[in-house]
Amino acid sequence: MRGARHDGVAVPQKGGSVTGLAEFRRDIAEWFALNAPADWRETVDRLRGQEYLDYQRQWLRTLGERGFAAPGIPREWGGGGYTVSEQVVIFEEWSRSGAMPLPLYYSVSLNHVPHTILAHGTQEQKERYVRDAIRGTVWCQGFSEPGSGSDLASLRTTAKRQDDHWVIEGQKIWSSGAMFADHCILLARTGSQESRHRGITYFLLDMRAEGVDVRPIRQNTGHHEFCEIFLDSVKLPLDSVLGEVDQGWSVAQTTLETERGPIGMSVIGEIGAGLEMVKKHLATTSPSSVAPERAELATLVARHQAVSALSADIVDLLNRGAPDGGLSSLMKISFSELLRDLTEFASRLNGPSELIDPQRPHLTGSVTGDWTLDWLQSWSWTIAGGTNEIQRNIIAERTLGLPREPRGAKRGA
Amino acid sequence: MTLSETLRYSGLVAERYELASVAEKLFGTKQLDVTAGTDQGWSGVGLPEELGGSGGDEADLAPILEAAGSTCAAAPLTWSTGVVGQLFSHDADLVSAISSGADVALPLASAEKLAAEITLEDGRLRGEFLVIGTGSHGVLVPFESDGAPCAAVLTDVPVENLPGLDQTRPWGRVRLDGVSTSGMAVVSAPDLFSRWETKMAQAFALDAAGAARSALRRTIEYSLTREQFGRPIGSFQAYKHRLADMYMHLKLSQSLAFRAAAEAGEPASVTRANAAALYGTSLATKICGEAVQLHGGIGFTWEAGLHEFLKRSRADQVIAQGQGSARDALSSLS
Repeated sequence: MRGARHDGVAVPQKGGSVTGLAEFRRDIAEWFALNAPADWRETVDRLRGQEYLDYQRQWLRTLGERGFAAPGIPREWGGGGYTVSEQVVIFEEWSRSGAMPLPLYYSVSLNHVPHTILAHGTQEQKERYVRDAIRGTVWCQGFSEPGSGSDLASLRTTAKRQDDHWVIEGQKIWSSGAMFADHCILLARTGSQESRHRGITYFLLDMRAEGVDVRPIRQNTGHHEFCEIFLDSVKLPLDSVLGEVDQGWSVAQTTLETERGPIGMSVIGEIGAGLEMVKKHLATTSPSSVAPERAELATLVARHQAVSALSADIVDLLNRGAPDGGLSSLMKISFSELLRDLTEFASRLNGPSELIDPQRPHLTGSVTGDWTLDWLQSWSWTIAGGTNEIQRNIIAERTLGLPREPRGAKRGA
Repeated sequence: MTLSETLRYSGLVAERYELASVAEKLFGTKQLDVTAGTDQGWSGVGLPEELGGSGGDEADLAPILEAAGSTCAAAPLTWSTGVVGQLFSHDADLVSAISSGADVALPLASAEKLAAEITLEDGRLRGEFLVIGTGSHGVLVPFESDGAPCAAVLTDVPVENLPGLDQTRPWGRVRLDGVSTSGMAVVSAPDLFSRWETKMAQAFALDAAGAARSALRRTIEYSLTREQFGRPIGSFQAYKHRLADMYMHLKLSQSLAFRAAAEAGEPASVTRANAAALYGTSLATKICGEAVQLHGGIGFTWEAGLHEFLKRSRADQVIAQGQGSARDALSSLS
C-alpha cells in the first residue's frame, strides 16, 4: 500500500486462522451427528422427575468425554480448555445439530459455579466442587429475594456467626432447578441491614442441610422450573464461605459476568435454527400467498445476522482481553427481544392451533418448535439475569457516562 | 474509554483505528472539498496498488467510508471507490482515476431492476435514471446483453444536477438516448448484479452507521449539558433508556456493516450485506430521527444541523435497500 504518503494509511495485518476454525467446526458438527441421541424429544416427554435428571446427566457425561460439558473450564478441572472462539463454535454446532440442551445444568452448574469457585475458592473448595459440578452434581443460585430483585444489594437473608458455624435465616426466589439441586451458591447478609453491598458474603450451601425447604413456583407456561428456597436456622460450616466474609458482592460479580460469555451465544444459535424451521414451514405454501410473512421473516433474519455479528465482535474483544464497552448487555437485550419476536411470529403462522396447549412435561430449550410455549417462555430471557430495563440503566450510566439515578431516597423525603 | 472511543466500532484494531481517526479529522476539516485526501491516497484504499490504487482490502476501506458518513463528507468515496472501483478493480485506467478522486456517478436504483428498464439496441443504450455523484468521470450503467448482466462506465454522458434533500452530496439525472457502449469500460459476469448490490449495501451501510454515530454523540453531549427541572436531561430514566437503545442500535448497525466488509468474498458475506442494507441502515435512520427528537425544539431547526444526519442516513437506507432487493434476498426460501 502506498501508505508512505501519509502516516495514517497503513494496512493492518490479517489476524486469526479462519481455516483452522472451519476444520474444528466440521469436527464438532460430525461429533454431534454421531453422538447425540436423535430421539431425545420423544424420550424426555415420557420421563418425570429424577428420570429426567438422570437422562440429562447421561448426555452431560457423553459431552464431557470431549470436554463439551464445560468447554471454557481448564482441562485439569474437568472442562475442555477450549479458546473463546472454539467455545462459540461448540455452542453453535450444539444448537444447529438439534441435540438436547441441558436446562438443569446450564448455566449454574456448568458455567457459574466452576468459573466462580476457580476464581475465588480455596484449593480445598476447588477440589471438592469443580470436577463434580462438571460431572453432574446440580447447583442452583440463591441470589434474588422477594424484596430484592433488580436492587440485589438490598437483600435481607442473614448469616450470623455462632461459634464454629454460620446460621442462615431468610428466603430466596427464582432459583432454577432448585428442586433437583445438591448445592446452592448463596448470598447472605453478614453486615448490618444498611450495609448494602459492603456487608454481603457468598456461601456454598448444601441443599440437604436441615432447615432448607424448596417450593417450586409455577411459571407462565405452567411448568415448574424455578423455586423459592426457605432457609430456617440452617447451619453452615465455616469453610462454606467463598472468598472473604463481607466481600461476597465482588465474588457475585464474577458469577454475573460469566453469564455474558460464549454461553449466551447458544441462544443465538437456537434462534438461527428456529429461523430455518420457519423457512421450511413457509416453503410448503406458494410464495405469493405468504408475501407479508416473508417480509417479516426478512427482518427477523437480518436481526439474527446483526446479533450474530455483535456476538462475534464480543468474542474478538474477549480474545483480545479488551473491555467490552457494554456490548454484553446490548447482546442480552437484543437476542432476548429477537427471541420474543421470532417466537411470536412463528406461533402466529400456526393459526388457531397455537391456542391449544401441547402439554409438554418439560421445556427443553428456548426454541423447541412448540412456538406458543417458546413465546411465553421468552419472557424468562428478557427478565432473568438482570431485566432488560436494568441492562439499559447499566449501559446508560456505566458505558455512556450519564448521571446516575438518585438512589436510596426514602419515600416522601 | 472516552465517549468518542466508546461509540466507535469495537472491532477496529489499532492500525484501522488510527486510519479511521485520521480520515475523520481530514473529512471533518474539509467537509465541502470533494478532493479532500485524494493527494494522500485515501480514494484508492481497497483498490490494487499495481494498477494505481493504494492497496489494502475492503476491510481497510470500511473505516474510511464510515468516517465519510460521520462527517457528512462530500467526497465520492462511497460510490466511486466503494462500488465502481470494486467492480472495475481489474481496470487500470479506472482504478487510477478513482484513486485520484474521480467521481463516477452511481444509479440509485437496484442494478437488476434498472437493467430490466434499460434497453440495448444495435449497441446503443436507452433509459433514464437518478444517480448520486457529479459524474465528472462518467456514469455507471447496468444493462443486459443477450441475457448476460453487464455494467459499463459511460464517460460522455452528461449528468443533470438535481437538488438533493441530502445536501451533503451531489445528486442528478441521466438520460441515455442511444449512447454507444463501444470503447467504454464494460464488465460482464453472471453474478455481476448481485456483486454490485452487495457492494452498494456494504458501502452505504457504512456511511449510514457513520452518520448515526455522530448523531448519537451529539445527543449524548447535549443530554449532559441541557438542564430542565434542575437536572441534566440525561439523568432522567425515560431519556436514558432512549439513549441506551440508540447505542444498542448503533452497535448492531456497526457490527453488520463492518463485518459485511470484512467478510467480503466469503459465502456468508452476501447475507450479512443484505442484513446491513435492510436492518442496519433502518436502525441508523432511526437513531438519527431519535437524535432530532431528543434535542427537543432545537433539534427540529436547520441551524442545529441534525437534519443533515437524518437526510444522509435516509438516503443511504433507500440506496442500500434497492427497492426490496435486500428484503427479497433475505426471505428467500430455497
